[in-house]
Amino acid sequence: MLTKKSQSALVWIVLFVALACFPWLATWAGQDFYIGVVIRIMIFAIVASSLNLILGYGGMVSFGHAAFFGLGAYAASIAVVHGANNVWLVWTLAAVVGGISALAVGFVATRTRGAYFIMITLAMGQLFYFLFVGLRQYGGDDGLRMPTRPALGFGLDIASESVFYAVVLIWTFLMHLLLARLVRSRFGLALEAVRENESRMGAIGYSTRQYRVIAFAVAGVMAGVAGALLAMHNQFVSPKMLHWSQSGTLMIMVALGGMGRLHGGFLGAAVFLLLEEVLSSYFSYWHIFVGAILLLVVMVSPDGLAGLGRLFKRKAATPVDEGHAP
Amino acid sequence: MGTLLLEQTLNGLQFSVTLFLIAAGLTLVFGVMNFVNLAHGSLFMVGAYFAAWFAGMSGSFWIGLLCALPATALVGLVVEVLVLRRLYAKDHMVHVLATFALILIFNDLVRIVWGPLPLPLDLPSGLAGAIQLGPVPYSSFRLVIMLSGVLVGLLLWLLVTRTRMGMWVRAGANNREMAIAMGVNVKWLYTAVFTFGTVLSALAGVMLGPFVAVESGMGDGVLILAFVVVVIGGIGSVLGAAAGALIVGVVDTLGRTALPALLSAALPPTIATSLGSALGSMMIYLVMVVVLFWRPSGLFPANS
Amino acid sequence: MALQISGLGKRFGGLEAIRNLSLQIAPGTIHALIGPNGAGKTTLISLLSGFLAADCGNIDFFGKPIQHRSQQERVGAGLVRSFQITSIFPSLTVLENLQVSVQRRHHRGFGFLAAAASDRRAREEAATLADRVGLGRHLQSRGDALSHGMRRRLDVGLSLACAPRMLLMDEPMAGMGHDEADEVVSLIRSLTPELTILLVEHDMDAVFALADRITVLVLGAVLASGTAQQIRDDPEVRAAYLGTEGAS
Repeated sequence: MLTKKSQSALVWIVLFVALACFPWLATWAGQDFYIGVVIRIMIFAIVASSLNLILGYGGMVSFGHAAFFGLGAYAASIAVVHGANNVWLVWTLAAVVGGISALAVGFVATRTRGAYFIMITLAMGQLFYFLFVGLRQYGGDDGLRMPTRPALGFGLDIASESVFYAVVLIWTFLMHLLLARLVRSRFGLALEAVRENESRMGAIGYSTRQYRVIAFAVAGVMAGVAGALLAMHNQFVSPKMLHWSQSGTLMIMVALGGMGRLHGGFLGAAVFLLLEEVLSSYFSYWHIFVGAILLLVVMVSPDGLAGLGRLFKRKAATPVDEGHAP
Repeated sequence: MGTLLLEQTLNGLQFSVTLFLIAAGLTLVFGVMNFVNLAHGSLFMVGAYFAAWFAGMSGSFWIGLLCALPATALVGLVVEVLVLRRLYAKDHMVHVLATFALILIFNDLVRIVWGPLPLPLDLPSGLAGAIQLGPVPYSSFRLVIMLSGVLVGLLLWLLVTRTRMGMWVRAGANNREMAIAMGVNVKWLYTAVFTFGTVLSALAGVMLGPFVAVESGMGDGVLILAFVVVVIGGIGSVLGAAAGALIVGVVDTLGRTALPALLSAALPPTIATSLGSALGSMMIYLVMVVVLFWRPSGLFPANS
Repeated sequence: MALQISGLGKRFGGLEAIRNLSLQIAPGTIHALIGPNGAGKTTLISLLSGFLAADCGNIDFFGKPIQHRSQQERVGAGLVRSFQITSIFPSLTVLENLQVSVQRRHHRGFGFLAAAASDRRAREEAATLADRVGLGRHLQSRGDALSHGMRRRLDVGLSLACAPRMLLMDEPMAGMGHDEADEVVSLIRSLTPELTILLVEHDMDAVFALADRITVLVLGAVLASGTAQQIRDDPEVRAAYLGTEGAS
């Protein structure tokens, strides 16, 4: 029997291969439209996973995460509008902007606890939202177009959908690898322990606030890059990308997929966006279904869909029997 | 300029009153049940919808108001008993997700029931005019809103500080175990607090209805501001809600109207309007961040 | 002396919680602190751990004065406190619980990319600690799947992971059933003579089973101090405290 880690790796390899083959399949079946859908899913998988780091692993209910997503998108778009034509530069800029803003927000927010933390992250997210609404020279409420996608180099044309798909695919897997490495590290273990019992960790000698702020910053970097990718995909960005309702959507994705589970972000993004795709084509009022599903999931399985499996296993398991003291 | 400032200040106060009505219920639910209720804005919306519906059918704003309050209270009661009760013991993340789900459900539900277009809610004919307040003619209805809000505030203060029920609420806000030990039926206390908060929120919705469009999603923006009020004022405290509402209402209104005017003295008009308006909207969040940095539990928290 | 307290005092406004308290604890022994509610036992523990600062008096830990040192510094010096309420990491496994406590001592940095599963030294020490507290066969069990008694033992394990020289234990028997209490008593006894233990407890069976010396605290001052037999026989103690409990 393979170890859990090897099982997980196998699933990801299969997934990578399947996703890599997908564009060809889609084109062959005449369903090119879905290539764009899958690109969107992969981009949201990255940003949802970044929120999973804060929310699931870190236990911090951040209601302003969409701000870093949007900041990355705007950083990329504004750079291109001002003439940047090197995608590596643009990605770096988006990552830095996402990371630094998340560092700042994290630093301020971690002064508070509980409901106040939720509110302060929401407020700071709204600050960024209104900032872009007010910046008329970058479109304001109407949004900003990205005239061209910045160049990739290596003789590849990033304007081509298949090249862009490959780029997003590679980013998705790189980000997943980064997340996997991070959550399985000493840092990841400590972060989860801080989530479970912060005062005990303080008593043991950890600077718990540092761990939280760093998690925030890393998540900000990931979200920033994802934002840049979305801006490049749509060649458009609007302040709505930073709105608290977008943060709520990201939280739904993480909750659906499984908080604190490695594939939580990916699974959640896929399920949510596919649901959106399917439901919106049949019903004008499909939000009510999403709401109902989310409510059901939250009330039945707090670990999200990924936790449903464990829920069934737990019911069948025998309770731990008493050990004896030496 | 002076009359404009006076009018805007009055509008700010009226907005404060509306915010107080919404925030009072929110802060009590927060304080007594330790429950983060994002769906509070949805009940505000449902109140406005019921009022518009009943008023439309009967032709009278007041009938609309009188029918909307119990109708919305019933909706709130059903939600509390069926959904929220199971969630009190869980952590805030679950509350946020579940009540966010309720927002989604309610936003579509009102459109399914009443259609996608906004419903009209007319000012009551008796109060459609204006009263001369010194140099400024001010809408009578807005004055009535302010008056009723102050009355409700006083009533609430009396209830919370002078009655036995109020004592239970304060005990619950401070110490749940003690409340149980005192023999309080916690389950029904929670339901009562939640329903009361719902009624206040619905009242705010009905009163604001004539000024804003009664449409799906109308509660979302107001919800966020109500949360800012609660956090600035301090969770669980009605006094805090009043203080917070005053600050938020006035800062937000003046900020959004005064800033563009101030900026247009220095900047070209289009930039001044949009930048000023954006900065104005940001003001209240900046104030909140500053307050929380200085007082991480708000100005008058219940559990100090 | 492991711990030498002299003239310790603490006021809370008008209330004198600890009055001119002096106490000595020999290394490798278990010293129990008993007394009625409100006597100041938990306050004393808080003063010793550094959670509260004393108004006056000296605390010497293995010869070094610590009354002005912070909580973190006292933990670093080997003086570790455990709490009344079991405080573990519920969704982490027993191994992870202990590993995260141990790794703090082994490594300086954050270890962003260093796999926790590959940290052999920390894992081995964590497994050894688990054996020490009788949880060696439950390394992969989640904290919240453990029984009350096992959680308490894990809690002790987390304290041991800080490599303490002395443990301040605040009511470790609290909420224990009879069998569970026996296990915890055995565990505590097994910790000496390597460790020195100051034990605050109400469970008299446990106190008389474990304590080398007992100090009785009443209204913030020492009423009596001596061996278990001396305390049992002391008429003042019987009157003030044990008399109503009917200890035989």
